[in-house]
Amino acid sequence: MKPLKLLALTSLNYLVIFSVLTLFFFAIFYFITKQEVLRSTDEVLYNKKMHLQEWFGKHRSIISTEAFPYSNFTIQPAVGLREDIYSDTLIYETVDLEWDEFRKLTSTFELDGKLYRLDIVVARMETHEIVSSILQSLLVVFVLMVAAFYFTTRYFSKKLWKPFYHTLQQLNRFEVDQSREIDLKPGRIEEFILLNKSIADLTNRTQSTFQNQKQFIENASHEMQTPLAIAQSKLELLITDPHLTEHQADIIQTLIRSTQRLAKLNKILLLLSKIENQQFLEKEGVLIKPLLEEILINFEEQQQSLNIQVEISVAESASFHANKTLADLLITNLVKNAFFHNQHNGSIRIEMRDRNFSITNTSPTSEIPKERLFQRFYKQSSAKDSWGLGLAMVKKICDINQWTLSYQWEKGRHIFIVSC
Amino acid sequence: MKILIVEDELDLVSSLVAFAERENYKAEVAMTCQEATKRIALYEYDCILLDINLPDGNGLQLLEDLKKVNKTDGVIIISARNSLDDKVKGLNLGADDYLTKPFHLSELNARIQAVIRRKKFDAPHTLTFSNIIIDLASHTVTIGDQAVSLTRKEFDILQHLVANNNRVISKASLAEYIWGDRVDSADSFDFLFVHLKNLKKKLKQAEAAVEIKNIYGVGYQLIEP
Repeated sequence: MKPLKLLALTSLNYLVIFSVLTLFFFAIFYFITKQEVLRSTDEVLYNKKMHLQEWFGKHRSIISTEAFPYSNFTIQPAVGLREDIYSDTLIYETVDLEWDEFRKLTSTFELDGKLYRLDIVVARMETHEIVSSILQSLLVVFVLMVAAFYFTTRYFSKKLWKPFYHTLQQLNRFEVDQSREIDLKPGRIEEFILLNKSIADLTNRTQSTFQNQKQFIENASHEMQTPLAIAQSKLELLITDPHLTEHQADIIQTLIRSTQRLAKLNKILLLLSKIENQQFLEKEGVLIKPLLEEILINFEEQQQSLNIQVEISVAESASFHANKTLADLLITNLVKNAFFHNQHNGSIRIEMRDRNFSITNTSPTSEIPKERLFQRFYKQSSAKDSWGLGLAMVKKICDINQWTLSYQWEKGRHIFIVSC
Repeated sequence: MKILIVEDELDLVSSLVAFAERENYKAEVAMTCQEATKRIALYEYDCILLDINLPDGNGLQLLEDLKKVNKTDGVIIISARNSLDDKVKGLNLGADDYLTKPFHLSELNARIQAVIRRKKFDAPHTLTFSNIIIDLASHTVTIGDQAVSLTRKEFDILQHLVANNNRVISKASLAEYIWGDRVDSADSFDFLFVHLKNLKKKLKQAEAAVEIKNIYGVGYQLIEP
């Protein structure tokens, strides 16, 4: 179900309640008015009856209604005395050939020992007109009121909820890894002030936890550097010992390798947390081609041993606007990736086209699941000297430069594209 | 040759002292900023290895004090904080070099030699061992009086071996010297082996009076047999 906007929903609810109530009151008003009109009509009939009876009493005779065919009363002899009866009746009007509504009073009275029935009628036309004109004006009022109500509530609600929407927008923009504090406007509504306070507290806490976490990784990595330096230097002193036996040398070799791996891992973790901590801020135009050539020199052994065809189509003037260290790291990691996941007689194509830097390489491995690709410590191969941190670093560098990094798999080739 | 080691980590100090002795450097140790200041005021050193995280203050402060008395010549900063800021600050304050922990002793040795070379104005930019002369400015190698053409990586390997002659250099440190941080695969030792094989062949052809000894697969040593 499509979510409704709070503003729309409240406006709609108000509108429904308002309409129902107004219609209800209008109905009551209508019936009361109608009743009132009826009552005054009946009063007119009653008065007329009293006048007629008085007149008959005074003149001691009954005027035959036949002498006045169009008078609004008739007198007929009656059988017994009865209570007055008010009723609605229809009378056929011969002029315009239609039935007209009338109010009729039927009353019996005695005159000189004889019983008579008196019927007096009054056209109800006027009452109808009154009621319908009232109804019409009420309807106009109703429509105007509804419209006025709808727009005013909308306007005020909008104004009322404005701080809320502002807060919502700020929350949407909030990112935990940025040091920028959330900007919440102080308002006058207590609930919103409380909400903003809770949000500010929560975001501050999250941010500081995150900061601490990052700082912790950086500090821990730094603290590891000294013991690693000690281990490494002791091992290197040990191999210069002339009394070393081959067996001992073997053990030392393993230890050196492990220390080396630990040192490298530590270095990468440090780098990652430094990138996260925004310690590489200075940006400049970094020419891609010379940097790429410099990096590729480091991989010429891989290239030769696997007989990999490297094809570069990058313009001399193509550049990244980025931190030089990070640009180097980005390209190095992508190139490294392209070499290490390659095959014999494979190929690598490096291109820069329309701000899209792409590296394509042949590979014996299948498509990498996208959701896990940039995860730290995700390894596709069981290679001992890989930690699955290279692509995580590439992703991070792209993120902080607001570049997008995408991956495609096409006919046995991995394609990584940095769009900047 | 006199060096001062300013470092508070005892185990690392002992490694550095052992290393210095082996290289025939005269090493003195200061474990605090205060001690270092005192020693520097009293004695002259060719090279100062300065850890910038010391218990009684920041090594950068010490460096600033040294700059005031114009004694920053030959300072190599050794730091666990591989921070660009510190590096820039340190070098701006007059330090000669910046090394991040953990480092290889052969790398440290090469840096110390470079610092000392820089200090001697008239020293040629060459490294010499036996009948090998390496010109660092023009990147050329002469054996006897014959120029030898080496690939860039062979040149790097030979330079590092000559700078650390008679020392055993671990394969790991040699690989890192050549490829830096960019390559970190197990393959790099195999590639190193290929480069060394080619280098040995070229040295032999040029009749170099040296030998690159393989120490039980752990490392290499350049000696004069």
